[in-house]
Amino acid sequence: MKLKYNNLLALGALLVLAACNNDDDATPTPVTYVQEDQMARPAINTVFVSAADKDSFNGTIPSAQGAAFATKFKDKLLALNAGYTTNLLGLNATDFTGVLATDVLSVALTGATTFYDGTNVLTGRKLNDDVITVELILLFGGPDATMNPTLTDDHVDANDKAFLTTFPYLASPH
Amino acid sequence: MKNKTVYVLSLAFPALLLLSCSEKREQDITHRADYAPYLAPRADASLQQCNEEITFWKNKQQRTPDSETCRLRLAGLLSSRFMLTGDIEDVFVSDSLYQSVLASSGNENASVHRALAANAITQHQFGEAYQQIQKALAIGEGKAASLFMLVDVNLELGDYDGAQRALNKIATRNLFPYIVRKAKIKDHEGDLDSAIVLMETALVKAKDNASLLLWTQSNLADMYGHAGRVEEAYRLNLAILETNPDYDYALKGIAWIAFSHDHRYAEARSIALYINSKRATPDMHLLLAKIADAENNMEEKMKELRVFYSLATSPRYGDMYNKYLALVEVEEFSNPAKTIALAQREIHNRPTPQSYDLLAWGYYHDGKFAEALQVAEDFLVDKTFEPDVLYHLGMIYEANGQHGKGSDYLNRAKESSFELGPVVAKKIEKALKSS
Repeated sequence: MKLKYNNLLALGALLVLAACNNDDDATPTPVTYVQEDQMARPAINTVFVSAADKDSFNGTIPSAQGAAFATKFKDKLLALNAGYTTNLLGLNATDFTGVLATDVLSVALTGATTFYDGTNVLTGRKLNDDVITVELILLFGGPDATMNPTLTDDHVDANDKAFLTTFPYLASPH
Repeated sequence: MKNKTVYVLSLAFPALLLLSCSEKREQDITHRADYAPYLAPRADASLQQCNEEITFWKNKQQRTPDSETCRLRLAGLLSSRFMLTGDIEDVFVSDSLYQSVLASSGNENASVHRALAANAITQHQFGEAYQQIQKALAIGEGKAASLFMLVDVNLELGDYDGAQRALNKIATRNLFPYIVRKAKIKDHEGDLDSAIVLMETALVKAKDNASLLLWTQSNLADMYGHAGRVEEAYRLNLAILETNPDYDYALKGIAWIAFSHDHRYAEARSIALYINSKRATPDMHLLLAKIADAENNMEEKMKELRVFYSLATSPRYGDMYNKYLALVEVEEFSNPAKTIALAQREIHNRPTPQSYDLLAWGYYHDGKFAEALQVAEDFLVDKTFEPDVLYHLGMIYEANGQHGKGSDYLNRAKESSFELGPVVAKKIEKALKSS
């Protein structure tokens, strides 16, 4: 009978290691955690992080991401939009890419919660926010969202199935 | 009258065992009551779920034909379904879906290259798998996953140093994917005890992931069998079936124990026939032929071998069954020239000791004992510890008049009689007596 080894495909899981120890006096085996992934703004990650940097970006804690990746983000931004000056947030290329490279979702503790509602920008994120369009506006729309009008809308204005009003709020798979 | 004959035979059989075994009397390990519930036809829940998901994504794809996500999901599900049904056409469609995604994304997608490599391994296209992994590594994303697959591919290609080098590049060594590959390398090195300890460690780590757990249990069951721990192998296979009654690989493991350890041939046949009724792949016919051989039913054996041969030589299986075809050609059809040709093809595809073993075995049966010995000493001795190779080495040394080495290898092979099966075990006994 031959040994068989199936292919291992799904390896992304983060395994938490627990030690079995019957001896109460023994020093507990240290538990090691490894950051494998993170997902605050996956579209930004997809566009701005090169394939070669993906692993290290996903494994870097957000507070260290700005220092490590802001320059690369800035290069990418200017490669995508050489005419970038500032955007709706009033941020120049250096400041904006510093924000982008820190992969967290910001939220305002007071006021409206929205990715962008025409007035408030990045004060949070709702399921029905047109996130990609907002990101395109910030990248290409210039200081008043009017520049490069052909590049600032993904023309997907709503989910193709209504969201739920109760948990889990997302629409069922369809 | 018939019943009486059976009765007399059943009395005679244990007596024969007593006479033929110098060790303690064999105890049956398998009991039909343990596994009978898994031999009843029922809806395969995993397959049903897989089919539902395929239907879901196909519907979605009709609405959004350009969607990359739909193609990726369908490709992955079709590869999964092949594991459940053995229908190789699913892998072909999966390949073409992945290729279409690559074409539209400009090749910059490491995970798709890894998925294509996995499909290539399934089809025994190891050179292609290696190329896909190299592309994934060059892109960079998911480096650890790519390195783990490089270990797998290198092991298949016989590049054991390359496999170890790839594994050495992994920094985190206390996680499941590292440990199982370390176990595979240890097993290849002939250090089965370490391999088992590592696989047992992996088992603990896989306990929260149902599919990984089943995979690990079935590999561990094989290793237990390899180590002669047949009872443990049996218990583990039963545990797998308790979790997933449709995990046919575990049922096949039980069929092998019934066949090779308990010599309950009718039982083994009924299990094999049940598996074959669910998924028609060539493998089961090979097992059925071995069972018929052990029963001295040569007509039935040749019938099964012909079915195996006609299925396994189908172009859709490519090189997947080369090894078993090569063995059948030389051992059953007395056709060493075909074996040698298949062996050379295998050596081209994957220059492993197992591939060279086929060449040596072909030469041996062709009466070219010196050539067989040359291949054996260049590529087999101390390079693999697989029992079938040890058996072949024993026979080759015997044929070359080196009886000391011959009986040494035959005795080592004999220790793995369970893994080799009763027919080969008898051949080893016979060779040892005449050496």
